[in-house]
Order: sequence, then C-alpha cells, then structure tokens
Amino acid sequence: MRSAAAAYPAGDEVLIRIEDLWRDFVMRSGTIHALAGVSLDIRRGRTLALVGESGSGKTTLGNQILGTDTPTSGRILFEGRDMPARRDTQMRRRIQVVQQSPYTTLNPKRTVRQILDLPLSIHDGGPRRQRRERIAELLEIVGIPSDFMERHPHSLSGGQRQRVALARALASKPDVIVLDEPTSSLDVSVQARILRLLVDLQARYGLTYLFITHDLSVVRNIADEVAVLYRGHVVEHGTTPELFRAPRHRYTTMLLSSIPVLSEEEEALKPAWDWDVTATAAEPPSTGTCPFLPRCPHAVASCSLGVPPRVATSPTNWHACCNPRPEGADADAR
Amino acid sequence: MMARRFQSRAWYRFSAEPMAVLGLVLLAAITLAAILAPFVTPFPEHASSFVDFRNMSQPPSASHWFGTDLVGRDVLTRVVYGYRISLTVGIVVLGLAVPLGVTLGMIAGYAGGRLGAVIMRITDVFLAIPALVLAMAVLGVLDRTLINGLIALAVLWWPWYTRMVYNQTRAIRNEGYVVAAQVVGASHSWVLFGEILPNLVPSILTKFTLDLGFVILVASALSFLGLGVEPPTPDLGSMVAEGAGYLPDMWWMPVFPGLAILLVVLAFNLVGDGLRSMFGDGM
Repeated sequence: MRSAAAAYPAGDEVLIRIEDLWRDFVMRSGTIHALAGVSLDIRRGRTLALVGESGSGKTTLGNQILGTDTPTSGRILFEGRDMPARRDTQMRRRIQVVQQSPYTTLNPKRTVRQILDLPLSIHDGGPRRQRRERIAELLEIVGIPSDFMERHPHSLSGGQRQRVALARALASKPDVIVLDEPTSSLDVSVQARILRLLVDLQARYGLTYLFITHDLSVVRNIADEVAVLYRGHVVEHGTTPELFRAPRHRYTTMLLSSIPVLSEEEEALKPAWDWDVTATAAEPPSTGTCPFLPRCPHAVASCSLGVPPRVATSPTNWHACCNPRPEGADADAR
Repeated sequence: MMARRFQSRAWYRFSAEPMAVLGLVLLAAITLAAILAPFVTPFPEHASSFVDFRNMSQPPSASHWFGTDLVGRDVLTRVVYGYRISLTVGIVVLGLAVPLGVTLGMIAGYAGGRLGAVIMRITDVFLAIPALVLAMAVLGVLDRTLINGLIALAVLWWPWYTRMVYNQTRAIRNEGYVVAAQVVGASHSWVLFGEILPNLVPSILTKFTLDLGFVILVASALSFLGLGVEPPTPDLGSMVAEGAGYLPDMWWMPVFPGLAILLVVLAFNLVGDGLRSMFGDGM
C-alpha cells in the first residue's frame, strides 16, 4: 500500500510520510472516520494539493501534520522519524500554517509587528533590534510596506492580512507550510497575486506545501501532485498534469467536471452527471465498501466487497476504483 | 500612531452618548471629592468620633447643607468620607474577584475537558448560593471587620467573571490566531494572556465598571444590616441604617447618604453602558 515513490526523479526526497492514518470522531450518532487509513508522501520542495468537498477530511489531515490534532492510529514520519504526539519547539518551527479566513487569522488586538514578533521570540530571533529588522525584511518579502508595522489587522485588507499571515508562517524559517484554503475567501485578482507569491517563495526558500483546497483551477496552477479525498479516503493520487488529463476514479471525474468552463464546446465535453450534491451529507457512512458507492452511477458488484485497492496507472499515479473511467476517454478539454 | 487614532475613535463613540459622559463627570467629581476629602469637606474633623451637642440633629442649612446627625456631626462631610470607604470597597473587592474569576474562566474555557468541567461546576455551586446570604454567613462566622467583609464580597463575586470569561474563551479558542500561536510553539500561558485575554478586555472592563456600582450597593446593604464597617468610620450604608430609625422627622440623616449611594451606582452604570456601546461593534 505504498505509492510508487521509486519512480520519482532523484532529489524528490520524501519529507513527510503519512502511513495508514485514522482519525475517528465519536459522536452520539456513531463513529465518524474523518480519516480512514490515509497513506501519502509529501515530497520536499514540492506542492501536494489535497482536494475534496467539505467534510472529506482534508482539514483534519492538515491538523494532523500541524500537530493541532492527534490521530486515532497510524504514523506520520518526518524525515523518516516518527513525529511525537507532543511536538517540541524545534518541530513546531519546521511546520507552519496559513489559514483560510483572513479575518480571524490575525489577533485583532495586536499590531503587525507584535504578530510577527511572536514566532521570532519563540525561535530565537535574537535581541529586539535584530527581530525588528527581521520583521521589516519579512514584510518586504510578502510585499507589505514596512510602515504597516504598527498597524492593527482591522486596517488591512483581506489580501494584506493573508500576506501578514504568510510572513508569520515564514518567520520561523519552516520546511513545510500547510496552506489551508489560503485564497478561497479573497477576490480573484488578489487570489492570483497571492498564488504567484506562494510560487515565488517556494522557489526561493525550497518550501514544501500541503495545499488544502476545493478549488481545482487553483490546484492545476500550483500543485505538483494531487490527492483526492472522499470521506476520509484518498481515492486518487498522482501528478497534476496526468490526473487532470486522465482522471480515473469516478469521483475525480465528477470533481473535474465541476470546474466552470467558458464555452459551450467545453461544456459539451464534460461527462454527464445526474448527481444531487446536497444529498451527500445525508448519506449513512459506508464501511467496508467503496466510500463513493452510495453516489456512484457506475457501481459494479465488486464495489461493495471492500474498500477498493489501489491500482497504479503509471509510475506516479494510482486510483482506488473498481470500475474506473476508461483511459483515453474525452477528458482532454479539461 | 495607529493606537492614538484608535483611542480617539473610541473616545468619539463614547462621547456620542451624553449620559455616559454625564456618568464619567459624576464619577470624576465623586472620586476627586473622596480623595481630597480633608480639603473639600467643611468639617473634616467630623469624619470620626466627634460630638457637638449644641448642633445635634440640625436640618439642612447654609452651614450644614445636608444637616447634622444625632451627635452634631456634619452629614455632608460624612457622606464624602463615606465615598472613600465605598470606592475602596468596590476596588478591593473587584481587585480580588476579577483576576481570580478571569483566570479560572480562561483556564476552564481553554483547557475544556475534565479540568474545565470541574472549574465550571464549582463556579455553578457558588452561583447557586444567594450572594447576600453567603456574605452574611461568612460575616457571621468570621469577625465583622472590613477586611472580612471585603473577602466575603470577593468570594461571591468571582464566579460571574468565570462564567462570562469561560463562554467567551470557548468562543475564541479555535480562532485562527490562537491556533497559529499554538502551531508556532507559544506556551499555554502566552496563548491565554497574550492572545486570548486582550480580546476579553472590553467585556471585562464593561462588567467591572457596572459591578463597581453593584458592589458598593451590596456593601451598603451589608452595613445597613450591621455587618459592615465599625463606627465611627463613616459608611454610607450604616448612615442610612442609623438614620432610618428617625424617619420622617430627621429625614436628612438617611436620605442624603441614600442619595449618595444612588448617585455613585448610577454613575458607574452610565459609564458601564457607555463602555458597552463603545466596545459593542466588534472592537
């Protein structure tokens, strides 16, 4: 149950390896498997996008990496070593986060300088004057004028707040940044600029991104690899161009067909779907079958026999579908 | 620079409420008079044991605006000195109760789980006991000194802050900035006092101001019942109690101290309401 890591070019070292990770939430109505045996590799210096609808477990998975939540079972290896449940300061330094909402990510009662000073003072940023210089430098990196230092978040725009949040994440010189829908509540034009900044920073500092999103057009532009989550299962995983060109899992094809298109010609190329998305939440959780079975119009008998095994379609890509979309079908328009 | 601009904006919103400004002016006058009592009162020596039988039980006049009491002491002087005790009581009681209540509430709200449940159940027990009854019980067991009275009031006041702060802490403990501080490795005490507490200040300050009035009222009620300050220290509550026996003939003896209590409680309430509307819209 391992993706074909060997087929990656040399230098694509696995930084974080997630092995059979489960996270159960025990509710009055029953146990919910927010993560049901997730195994993934995150490669150093690359961007892995986690996509899926709300409730698919993508944020829960991000929280396991960040250490703000603990898995029910399974392991997370960082540079080949087990990550302890209680992270030490050094580990905290190396994994940072940029959150979704620009309106709650910065403490409204603290100035930009105070916000950026916290990671520096925890992770030995030197004496006060040195930290101040570093704060000015960080603001410059993310494109915020340094005279914003004494401002409070309420006088910043959404995009500026996300830039400050990014500066805060960069302050401790991390290896990994978990980007939890960092642009989804921003204007499209602002979104594009933040994404370009993220790409630049990755190239500059060799950052590794775990990019959590439901916006597939963003994924296509920024991610090296994509993992598609459905109800706590990774149903398809692989390099972005291949996955977008030839999606195999029936859920992935459904997701890709939901990308808005501009022309009727493009629309005509989409697979036809008669799927009531709002009904998904009401479904009973499926156990011991394909997680997508209750909603899949292409289900076959073997779908209900167990969680489908991974099927490699190339050295880099695999899916877990019993009746995948045939290769070479009309998906090229996407 | 920004801080100053924020302050002036906050002041603008506060000053838009004429009643709040009136309350603030009243408070300033009362506080100043109390601090400067030896200099502003007509008969400072009347504040303690003093007897002047020739002027006893005089109605209000030009020399004694609020009249005199049974032993000839100037009521105005004793009212102003009474404010000294009242304000001290309010500040000391809340000075003990607020830090305790806020800290416990933040810990309970942030930690949650078993620790939070234990703290909140203890808080509920205290909230279930009628305040005045608890204070009377404490003062019944302990000596009836001012210090014990203050402790009794503090003991019954902290749970309200714990309850309020607990709810607010629970509401913001999963906010992005709290999570970000945890992710970057901030200590629990930093998260509590550096990230969460600053966001609680507006509501704590508002409640604190309103409560100062109530504490003074309850302290007065306790001394009215004979459980407060020992004579001859001038205390508004005991002055009302003492004078009540001589109604209606010597009405000035209870009425002026009573009005004095009313005035200070009203002033704190006006300021508290002003603060509430000032902080109201998300600041």
